[in-house]
Amino acid sequence: MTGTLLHQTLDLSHSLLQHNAGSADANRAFFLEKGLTAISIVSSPGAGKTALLERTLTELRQEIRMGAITGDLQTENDAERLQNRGAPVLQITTGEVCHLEAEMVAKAVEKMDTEGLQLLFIENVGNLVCPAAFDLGERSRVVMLSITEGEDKPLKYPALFAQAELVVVTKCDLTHILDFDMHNLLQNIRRTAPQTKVIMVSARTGHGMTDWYAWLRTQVVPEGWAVVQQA
Amino acid sequence: MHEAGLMAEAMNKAETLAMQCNADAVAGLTLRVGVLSGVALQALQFAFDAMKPGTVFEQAELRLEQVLPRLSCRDCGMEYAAQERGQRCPVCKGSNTSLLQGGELELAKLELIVREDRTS
Repeated sequence: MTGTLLHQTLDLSHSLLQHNAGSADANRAFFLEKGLTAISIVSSPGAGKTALLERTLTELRQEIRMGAITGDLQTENDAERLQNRGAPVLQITTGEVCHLEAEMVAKAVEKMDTEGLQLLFIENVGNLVCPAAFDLGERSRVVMLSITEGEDKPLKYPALFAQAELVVVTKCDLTHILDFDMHNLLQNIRRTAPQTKVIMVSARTGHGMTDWYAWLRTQVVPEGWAVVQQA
Repeated sequence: MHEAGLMAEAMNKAETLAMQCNADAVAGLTLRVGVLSGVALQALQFAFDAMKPGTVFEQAELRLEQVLPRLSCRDCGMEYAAQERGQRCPVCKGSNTSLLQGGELELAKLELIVREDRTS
């Protein structure tokens, strides 16, 4: 039996990120219930995400219970660098995927002992383009750029910089060697992300790390808060 | 190159809808893509062409509708066309803006081929 072929048109408004948004919401709910603050860190490859975390996990370990998830296409190198600092660390190797998605984070968190953790760092794959499209369910997104990358990075990758709760400028110990125009960089950050906070650090010398730690303290959920919510 | 994953998401959704409508094939699908969505149109087209053989999309045409950015000023309420995020308000010169459109990434339209005796 063959009928006449008809054309039928469906008008839709289906977000292609809906699936990811659902997983991100689930992550957010999970973190909230645990009283765990998730902070994602996004930058280009080599900006110093892991170096900053190495120092942070060591220097804040007495004060804040931290963990880290690191994303890379290949290798477990970053996770190995972060080991033995008293914090649970898990590597996500994405294979061919150039960014983390909310579901990958959910699977990693499942494998991790998050009991009692206060702060979870999610180190995204080094990439300033694709991560912008994917909400991970984190509380705050930190965008990092090293001064070796040039002053105009925020203008070249505005989508990501516009999402930044905080911009961390790294490798600031090299400012004088590079003849770097910090004022120009700050203007460019302001142009793409007028409300964003900016701090300048050097994970090598320790310069500015106290500002980074002060900001992290504002992110941590106060002890007992989750319990109060349930009562 | 996250366009392949996004295209796959669009095709999965479209295929589910096509099955629900008892369609024989998909004649066309339209995506609405904001200029500021961070997605390259050629990469979407490339991904679609690579994935469609042997599927209900074999004969389908992909249409990509670009959406130009519009911002609204939180200080004075002005709405205006813009080239980029954070572009200052043309009236009060304020930088406290929000994106009204231009960040979209949606499956907007699906054209199906259905046999008359199967339409519900």
